[in-house]
Amino acid sequence: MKFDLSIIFKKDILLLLAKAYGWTLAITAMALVIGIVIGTILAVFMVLPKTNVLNKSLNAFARGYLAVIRGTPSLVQLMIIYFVIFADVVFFNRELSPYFVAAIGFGINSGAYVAEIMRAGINSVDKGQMEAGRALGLSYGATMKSIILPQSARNILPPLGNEAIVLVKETSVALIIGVSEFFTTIKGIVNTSYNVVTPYLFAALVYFVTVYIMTILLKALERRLSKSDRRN
Amino acid sequence: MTDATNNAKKPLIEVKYLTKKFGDLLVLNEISTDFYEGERVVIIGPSGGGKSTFLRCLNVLEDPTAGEIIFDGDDLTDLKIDINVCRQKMGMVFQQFNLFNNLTVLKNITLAPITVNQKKLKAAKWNNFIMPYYNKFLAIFGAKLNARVDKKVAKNKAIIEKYTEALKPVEEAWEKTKTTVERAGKVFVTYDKALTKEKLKIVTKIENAERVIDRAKYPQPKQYIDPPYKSKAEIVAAAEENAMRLLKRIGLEEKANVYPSTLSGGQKQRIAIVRALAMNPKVMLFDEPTSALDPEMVGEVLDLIKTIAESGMTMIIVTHEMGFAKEVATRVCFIDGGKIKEEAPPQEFFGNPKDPRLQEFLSKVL
Repeated sequence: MKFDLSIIFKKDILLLLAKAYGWTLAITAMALVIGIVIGTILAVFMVLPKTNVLNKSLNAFARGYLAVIRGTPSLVQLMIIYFVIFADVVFFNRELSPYFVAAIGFGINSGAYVAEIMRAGINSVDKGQMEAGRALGLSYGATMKSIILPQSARNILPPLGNEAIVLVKETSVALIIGVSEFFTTIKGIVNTSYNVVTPYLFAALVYFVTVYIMTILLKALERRLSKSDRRN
Repeated sequence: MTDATNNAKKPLIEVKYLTKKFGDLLVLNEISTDFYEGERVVIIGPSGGGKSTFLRCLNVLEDPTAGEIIFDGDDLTDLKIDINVCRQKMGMVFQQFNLFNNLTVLKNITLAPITVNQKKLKAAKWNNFIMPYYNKFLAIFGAKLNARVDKKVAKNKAIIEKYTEALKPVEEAWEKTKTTVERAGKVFVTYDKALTKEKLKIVTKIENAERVIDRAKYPQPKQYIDPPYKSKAEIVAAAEENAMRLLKRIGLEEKANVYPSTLSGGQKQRIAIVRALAMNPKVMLFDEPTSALDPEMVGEVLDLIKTIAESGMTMIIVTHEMGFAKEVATRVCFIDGGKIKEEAPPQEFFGNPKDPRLQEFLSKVL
């Protein structure tokens, strides 16, 4: 068996791959958005001052969520979400699309990791900033929104980019619930062409290029966020 | 200002038995004092004596362990009051400036006024929108709601009566278990633990019922609120105009659009002072405003504080600058070991100190 790109560079196969690649990116993007939303909420729950019962229970909820999600493999979570939780859910007389379920599943999973990233970022901001905001009469939420979170963004971005990169590659797990994303299609090509070397190496190359482009974009974003820094 | 006029007026801030503990460490020990409008109080004392903690307790940045702080008629230690509204009337300046690093100087100053006024505008709009419906609702169901409030009050009064009855035998039994122990020249009074718990339980129930009765009132028809600003643009324009005026006053108007990281310490602190002033506070709290500054920048910050003092602002200043204290203060307090050891007008305070600890302190710093 030898490396032979001609089995991939056919019009129909390339179209199929492009579509699957699009789904991979779409699932990643949706999962990342869901993850950031869940993560931000959980992170704020975790840094709330533990002064009353409500804050304490929110804190306990966030910690429980983290323990469960981080303690189980994403493959198992995806199976449970698709085959147990959403098994009988019918939406407008149609079963839920596995693409949608995959996005939600990965979102719920990465939410836990993003929460820890966000918490570290929020804690990295000087305590005086929160005190100054509160002393001016701003509420906890308003100070969080306009002072703390923007300042933590710069510290959050590198590990968050890490999470996005992991997510791009992890979406290949979604083939287990029948999502025809990029890697599923690659496996299909392997099965039809009887060539193992080319499709897998090509897949690795595509993933690598994707991640590399993401890294460059993240660097640019980081540079933009540091405009209030003295260094630039 | 003489003492006679002080006593006639109601104090702006009343501090009653303020106690603060960090774990087992007693930082403030039942401090009681009053601050009157127009007063400029300078608080001095050795490090670790509790003066910064005292100042931070005044606007509840530190939660007091016990005691009351009554500011402008509101008890700040009461969890039910809106602390944010109270803090808007108290400006605070920190040792480390604490300018918002992600905002430009102008935005630093305008952020709080804009946010607060926008919140007010939203509340007013909602109130005016819901008013006709709510008042109609009250006209129809008002009597029923009032009856419900009456019922609630009656129920809680019954609770108080019942538990007051129940309290008597418990209290008597509790009183009987009183034992006095004399140890190391001090007298300790102890009671039976289980009974103390039971008594506390009953007393808490009575207090809760009393609080419910205190807060119960008939629903009132809503009034039309005329917001001071009609739109967000107006709020922003007014806040920015005010901020530019304040920046001009300290001669930093050309720094309006730069980030705080490019400013010197003295400039930062002056902007932090102006940021607090932009909320038109009734009282300014300064927490060692010059301690983190280079010696040559201390002067400009103190000059600004002096000009604000001349405008009649009420101030409470924690500082180590004794000369400044002499010049600005109408009263000087010496806090050590969690207590106000001595408070007097500056001439008397520095000229004729009575407390031995203060005499020792002054001999070292002057």
